[in-house]
Amino acid sequence: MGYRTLSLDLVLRALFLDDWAFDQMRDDDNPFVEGLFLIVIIAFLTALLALVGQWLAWLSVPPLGEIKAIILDALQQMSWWGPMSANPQALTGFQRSWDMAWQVFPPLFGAPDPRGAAYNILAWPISGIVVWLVYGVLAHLFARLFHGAGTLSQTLGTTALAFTPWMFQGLRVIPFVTLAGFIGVWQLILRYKALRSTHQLGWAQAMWATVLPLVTLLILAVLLGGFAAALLALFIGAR
Amino acid sequence: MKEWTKVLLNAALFKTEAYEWVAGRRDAFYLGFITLIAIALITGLPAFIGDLVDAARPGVPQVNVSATMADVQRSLDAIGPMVGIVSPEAQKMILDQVEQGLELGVTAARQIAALPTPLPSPTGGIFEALGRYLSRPFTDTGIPLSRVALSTWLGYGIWVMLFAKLMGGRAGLAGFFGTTALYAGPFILTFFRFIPGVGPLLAILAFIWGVLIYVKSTTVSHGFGYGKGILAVALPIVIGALLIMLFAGGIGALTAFASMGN
Repeated sequence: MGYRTLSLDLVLRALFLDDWAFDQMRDDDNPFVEGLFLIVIIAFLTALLALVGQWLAWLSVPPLGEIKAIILDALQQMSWWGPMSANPQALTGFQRSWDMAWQVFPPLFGAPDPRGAAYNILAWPISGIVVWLVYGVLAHLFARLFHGAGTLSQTLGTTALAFTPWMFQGLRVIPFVTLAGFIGVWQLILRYKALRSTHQLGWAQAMWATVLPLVTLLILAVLLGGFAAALLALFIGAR
Repeated sequence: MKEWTKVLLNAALFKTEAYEWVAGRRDAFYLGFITLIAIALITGLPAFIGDLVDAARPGVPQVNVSATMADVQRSLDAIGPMVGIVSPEAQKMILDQVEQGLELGVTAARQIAALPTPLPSPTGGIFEALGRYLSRPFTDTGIPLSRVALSTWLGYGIWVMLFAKLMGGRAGLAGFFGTTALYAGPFILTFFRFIPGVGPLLAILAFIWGVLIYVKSTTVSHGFGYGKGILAVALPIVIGALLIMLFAGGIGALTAFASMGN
């Protein structure tokens, strides 16, 4: 049984950029396991809190189906409804668009979605682990290119601490609370600190090792998008 | 708390020792974070109280249909010269549609507001007001340093930090972000922005004061002169503006080229 480094104190110190937290994680006997545990626990607990918030919000608003019926009733009283509904093709088209709009728009405008929030209890830990591993491995490769001194396990352990700003998602236990992109910037700052601490890099090398994995992933995404578009064009052209 | 208030006050008076005190602390980033959240929440209180009062009021806000229709008529008159003459028949048709839509919309809104909810009314309205209020520090956006929000503090801050480092700055991340959070101090004035006529002036004053504090914070935390401090703070905005202009120029040139081809 290894020595347990993780504690609430360490997590909070990492969140607020204390070098001590990153050094402690780097020097742990198994930083990878500590990092994995941290990501799963944060993602799971915040998803659970967000589910409570979504459920409370859902209890405080009228059922979406009844709102939809009232608005449809109002539309049916508009002067254009009569001529439009006389055309069966137009009516079918309207019905299709209407149903699709009610699937797509309510979540975008913050309508409570307890089902989606329940799904996040599984989705957030899994996506958290995938993002952490992909970024961590790439960041390790770039750090080693810059003559970094850390091991892969140390890199993964310290970069897992960059997941701590995700804890703010727990604020969504309060219904209708929204959080913008600051979490991503905060994570970037923590990743820089993690790589600097793990690999003992200078500030410029640490910055490049932090940013280059994201640039690589962006280029890969563009290439994959282009490849998918080309395949689609080929497929459509063949029909 | 008392000590921190004193630091904020001294920072607002540009006393260097206040900036040095923050920059040298191990928990500088935490202090900066707490400062931003506290000031954003304090200044958001009047709006929150207004939202709570609205939420507690039964029914939906009254809509003056005839006043709204007069506004629509004025808008049509105003855009007339831009889109060409709109015939009186077409104008009447547009106005009739808008009026009908407005009346039906108000009726539908009343019906929706009257629908029963599992939790008693006005719980939903109170939840929405509370959610909006607590989201403020996390979602507010605008011109850098014109808002007390994490997005501007961190998002703009990393660029300033980068340029400062390139110019030989010596600050660590925690010290830099801790001191630059002091820019939020003057924004406490915006608590009074609900006062008619004074509000916008207070916001402008807080913005200018905040920018000056930000420059001083950058200068002190990085240990260089004001020239480099101003440059580090200005460069992200200048380069950002240049990139936007280049992008817009490129799009314009492409459009012109395409229209020439046609």
